[in-house]
Amino acid sequence: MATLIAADNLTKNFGATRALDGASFKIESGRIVGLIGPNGAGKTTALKAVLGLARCEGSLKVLGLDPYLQRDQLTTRVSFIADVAVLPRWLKVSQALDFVEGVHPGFKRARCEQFLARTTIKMTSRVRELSKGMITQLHLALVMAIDAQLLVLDEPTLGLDILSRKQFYDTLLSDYMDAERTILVTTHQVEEIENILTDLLFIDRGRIVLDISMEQVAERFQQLVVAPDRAEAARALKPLNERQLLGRHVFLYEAADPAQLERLGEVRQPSIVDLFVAKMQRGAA
Amino acid sequence: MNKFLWLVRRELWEARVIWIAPVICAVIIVGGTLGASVFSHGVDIGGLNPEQLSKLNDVLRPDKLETVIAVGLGGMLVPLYLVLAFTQFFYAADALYGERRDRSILFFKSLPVSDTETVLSKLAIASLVMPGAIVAAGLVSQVGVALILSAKFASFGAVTSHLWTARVWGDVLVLDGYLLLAVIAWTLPVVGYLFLVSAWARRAPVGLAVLIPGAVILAEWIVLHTPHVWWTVVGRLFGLFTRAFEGGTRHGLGFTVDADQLQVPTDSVRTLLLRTEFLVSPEVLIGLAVGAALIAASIGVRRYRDATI
Repeated sequence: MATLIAADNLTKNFGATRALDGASFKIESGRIVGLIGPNGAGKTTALKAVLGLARCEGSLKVLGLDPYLQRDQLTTRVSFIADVAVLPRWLKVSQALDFVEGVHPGFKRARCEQFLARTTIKMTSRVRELSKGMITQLHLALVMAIDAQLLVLDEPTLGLDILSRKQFYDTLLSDYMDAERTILVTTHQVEEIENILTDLLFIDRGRIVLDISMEQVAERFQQLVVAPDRAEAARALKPLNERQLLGRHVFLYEAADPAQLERLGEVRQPSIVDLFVAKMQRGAA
Repeated sequence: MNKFLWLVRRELWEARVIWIAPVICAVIIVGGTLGASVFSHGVDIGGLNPEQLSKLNDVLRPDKLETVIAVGLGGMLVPLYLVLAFTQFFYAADALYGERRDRSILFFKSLPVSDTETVLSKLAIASLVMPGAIVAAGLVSQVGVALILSAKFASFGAVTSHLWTARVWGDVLVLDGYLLLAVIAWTLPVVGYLFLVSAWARRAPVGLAVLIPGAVILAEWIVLHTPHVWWTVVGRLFGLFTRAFEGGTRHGLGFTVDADQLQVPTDSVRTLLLRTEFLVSPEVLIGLAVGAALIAASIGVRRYRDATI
C-alpha cells in the first residue's frame, strides 16, 4: 500500500490560538479514515492543510506533492466536499455538470448522470430549489464521477436527516469506494460511519491522540461492564475511563489482559463513541 | 472550450446583469427614440432636431455633415457608459467576496482551477465583456436610432443618404472602438482596487470600497490641507470623457452650435482621434500599471487567505 498522506509535526497558529500542535499521521491508499475530534480540535485546519488551503509548519506530502505549493497539480487528483452548503445557489444542475466537465479532466459526465438518474433531481433545477439532502446527492454525484485518488469529506452530512445521511454513506461505499481510492472523513456523527471506517485518527487540541486501524481497536481496547461490588477491583486495573450505566459500572481499558477482565464481568468491544469519550476525557484530565 | 472560457461562462451564468443591463439600455434608447419620433417633434441628434439637421444639407459640405452625424451618434454612448460604471462597480466589489459569503469558494477551490485563472476570468468579465457588451448595445442603439431618424427625415422630405455612408459608420465604429479601449484602460485601476477590497473584506465590500478612499481624502485634508487624492479619485471616476476626448476637442472634434452658426471640424473623426494620444498618456499608463499590481494582489489574497469569511 502506498502512502498517500504523510504529515509530520504539523503546526498551525491563528494568533494566540494553536490549531495544530505537532500533529503527525500517515494515510495509506485504499483506506477510509475517520478524523475525529471535538470542536476546535484542529480537524478542519488539518483537512485544509491536506487540501493546500492552509499553510502549516512541519512536513506534509499528499500524493507526493506539497499541497500548499503544488495545489494546482493536486486538485486534479483530490476531490473535496466541504459541507452541504457550498454548491452555489444560483447554479443549475445541468450547469454544474457542464462546468465540472469543462474544468476537470477526470470528470465522467455519463457516470454523474447515471447517479443523478437514481434521484429525483431534475437537470433544469437550480441548487436553491433543492432540499439539503438533494444538494448533498448532487455534490456527491459530481464528486463520485471524478477519477480522484483521494476524497476528503469535511462534515459532509451536516444538517441532513437520518435517511439522507445513511443514503450518503451507502452510496459512497457501494458506488465509489474501491481498492484504488482513499477517503478521509470528519464528522460528529461518529456512530454512523463506525462500520465503514478502516482507520481512526483522534485529534485533540491540535495533536493526534490516537492513530489506529479498526482491527487494532478490537485487539487493543476492551470495555468491561461490572456490578457495583466489583467496581473497586476493576478500578485497580487502571481503566482509561469509567462511567455508570443503569446501576452498573462501565470501564474502558487499553492493552489489558482479557482473561483478567472476564473474571470481573462482561467484556465487550467498545464503540468508537466510547473510545472517543474516554480518550478526550483522559486528555482533558 | 478551454478552461478559461468555462470560467467566463460561469460568471455569465451567475451575474446575468452583465448582459441584461446592456439589452435594457438598448431597448430604452431605441424604444425611447421611436416613441419620441412618433409622438413628438423633438427628436434630436447632437442638439439639433431633424428639421435643423435636414436644413444642414443645404449649407454643409457632405463630409462635414457626416462628421456631425457620426459624432452625434457616438455621443449616445455617454449614458450607456454611466450604466456600465454602475454595474461594473457592483460586479467588481462582489466578485471575490460573494463566493466567500455563500461559501461556494470551497466548491470552486475543490476543482482544478487556479486562483490566477479564476481572478483573470472575473477581470475578463469586468474589463472586457461588460464594456464590450455596453459598446455592442451602443452600436445596436446607434443603428436603431439612425433607422428611426431616416424615417423621420424622409417624412420631412429631406435626403437621408448621408446617414448611411461608409464614412459615417466608419467614424461611428472608430469612435465606439476608441471609447471601448479608453474605458478598459481608464477603469482598470478602479476594477483592480475593487477586486482587492472584494478579496480582502470580511463584510460589506461596497461600503468598504467607498470608505477607504473617503478616509484617505479626509486624512489628507486634515493633515496636509490639500485635495490631491480627492481630485485623483474624482478624475478617475468622472473624468473619462473629458480626458479621452480633450485632445480631440482641442483639435476640433465635435461641433458646437452658437447663434445658428454651426462649427464643424474639417478633419475626419479618425484623424482627430489619432491626435488625442490619450491611450498612451501617463495617466493611462500609470493607471494600467497600478491596475495590474492590484489584480496581482487580489490573486494573492484569494490564494493565501482563509477561504471563507
